Amino acid sequence: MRRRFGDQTLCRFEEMPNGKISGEVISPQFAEMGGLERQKLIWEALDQEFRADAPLVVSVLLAYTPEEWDMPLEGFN
Amino acid sequence: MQFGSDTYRKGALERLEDARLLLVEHKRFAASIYFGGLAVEGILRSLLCLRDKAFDERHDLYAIAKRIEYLGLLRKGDRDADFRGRVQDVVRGWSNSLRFASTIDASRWLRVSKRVRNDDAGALNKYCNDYWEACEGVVNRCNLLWQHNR
Repeated sequence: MRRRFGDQTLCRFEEMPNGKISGEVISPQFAEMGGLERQKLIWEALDQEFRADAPLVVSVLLAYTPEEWDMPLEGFN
Repeated sequence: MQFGSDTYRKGALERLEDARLLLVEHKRFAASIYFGGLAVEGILRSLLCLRDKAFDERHDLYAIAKRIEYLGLLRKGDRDADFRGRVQDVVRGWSNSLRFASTIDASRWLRVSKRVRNDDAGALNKYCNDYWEACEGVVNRCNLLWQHNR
């Protein structure tokens, strides 16, 4: 992911019940992009890395900009 | 099967990807909308479950969202107006009719109900893209809240 989105990219992964990887990709490159465009870039990077196996390895990766990820939240106060 | 907060969240993430694949790869618009709504319901339930395991809003997304606001999950003032707006967009588009309709019938219903204009061939695709992005916005935001408060 860093190869595709740069060194400022942060990735957080977890294993889903079906053994696939899920998580978040946080990158400034997502700024000004809609959700579908972000997903297109993520899956292009995954296809490059895993080729046809990508959907067998990865379930879903949510895309955030650093500003979205670091949004101050007041929930549960 | 015991449904806890994380069960709802992981299911919601999977439903969101299901909705994207149905839309982008297969152009199955009705199913994409349905799965997008399920993703939103699941992620809202995952948040409620952190605070209140005895809720009973069934499939009423608006009621679940109101309860989340009541539980103090949103920021004060108008700072979460965009989030509220996205939830409302999802609620408006997630009709029971779509749950049982074929894609052709769903397309007709979307046109008749003026959600999609009759004279624009790409409008249905755009409507469904916008709907998925509204769902994704809610899921992303709720996932963020979940990560910060689990």
